[in-house]
Amino acid sequence: MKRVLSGIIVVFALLLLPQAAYAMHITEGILPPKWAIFWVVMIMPFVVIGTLKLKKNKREVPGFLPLVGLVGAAVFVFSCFPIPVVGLNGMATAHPAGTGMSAMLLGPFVSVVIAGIALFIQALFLAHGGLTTLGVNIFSMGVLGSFSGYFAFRLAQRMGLRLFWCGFAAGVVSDLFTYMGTSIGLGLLVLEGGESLPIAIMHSVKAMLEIFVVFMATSQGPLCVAEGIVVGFAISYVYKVRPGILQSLKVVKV
Amino acid sequence: MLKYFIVFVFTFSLIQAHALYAAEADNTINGIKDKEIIESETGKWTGIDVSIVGKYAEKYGHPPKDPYINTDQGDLLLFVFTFFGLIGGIIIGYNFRKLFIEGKGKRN
Repeated sequence: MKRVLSGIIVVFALLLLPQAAYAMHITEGILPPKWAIFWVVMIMPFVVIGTLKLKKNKREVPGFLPLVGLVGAAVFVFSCFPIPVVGLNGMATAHPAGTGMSAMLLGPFVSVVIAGIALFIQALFLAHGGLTTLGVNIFSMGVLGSFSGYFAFRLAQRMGLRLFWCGFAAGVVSDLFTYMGTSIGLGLLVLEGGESLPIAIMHSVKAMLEIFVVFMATSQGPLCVAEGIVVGFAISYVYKVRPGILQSLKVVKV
Repeated sequence: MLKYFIVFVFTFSLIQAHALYAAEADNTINGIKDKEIIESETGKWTGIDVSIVGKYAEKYGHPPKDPYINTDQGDLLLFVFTFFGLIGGIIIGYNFRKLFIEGKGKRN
């Protein structure tokens, strides 16, 4: 145990050397402590319920655990995978979220847990996101991304669309809401100013909309459509090869 | 599990120590100083999270700072991305085979 601890201390000591670093998601240091705590409190109930649902489904649904492993690893890889996209801002890279797919297959609460684990590893080892911004990143990618994707999928099903288009809707909507969450996280920083509350709220909302429009007008817009297509094909493939899993998880009706 | 963790920590420390030593070294070849130029911060193919999130954070007076565990040093970031990409790929491949190749046609 002592050896393990000393190893950890050595690694941390070596890694804590200052150097400029920029990364994806909301980066380390952007949020003041009060906002960092606020976002952690916001996501905590979702993480707790998600963990309980994960344990319950593991016992009750056959094939659930390999599916969690597959989708979890896919979310991790998707959310740190810079894809070259040509948007209005020229040649840039943007990354998908993947939580639309995980919410659709595993349910939105389990998807929050998966997103949390993926974001935690990325913040810890990949200089991607941050530990103090973990709460807001889980909120945008995990909570907003998962729940919006899940409800978009259910709504598309109720409208009688084909399974591919239901998946497409989940992918597109979850990506849109993920970036809306990032815009909210950044826009709330305006509330730091010493203005009166109504004016500060107005400025904050304006900032959120501005950031969201900039995101969508640039590379993230085309990427939303690409993610929708990938999720559509993924759900169609699972239905074709193992429809039993989707029926057990109540994703599709028998 | 503990055994693998110790091996991982040892390998990681070794690589990190080597990277730091290399960064400190004077990379002079025949009087020409090797200078690192990070083009991606300003050039093509910049991540929109860097260009947009970073820009707005600075505008609102909260510029990004270094990660607590800073792997963005030289090729170390490339190593960790490749390492975790490989691990992710193995997990995806293993579970994909289990679910869709071996389990093809199963009712559940």
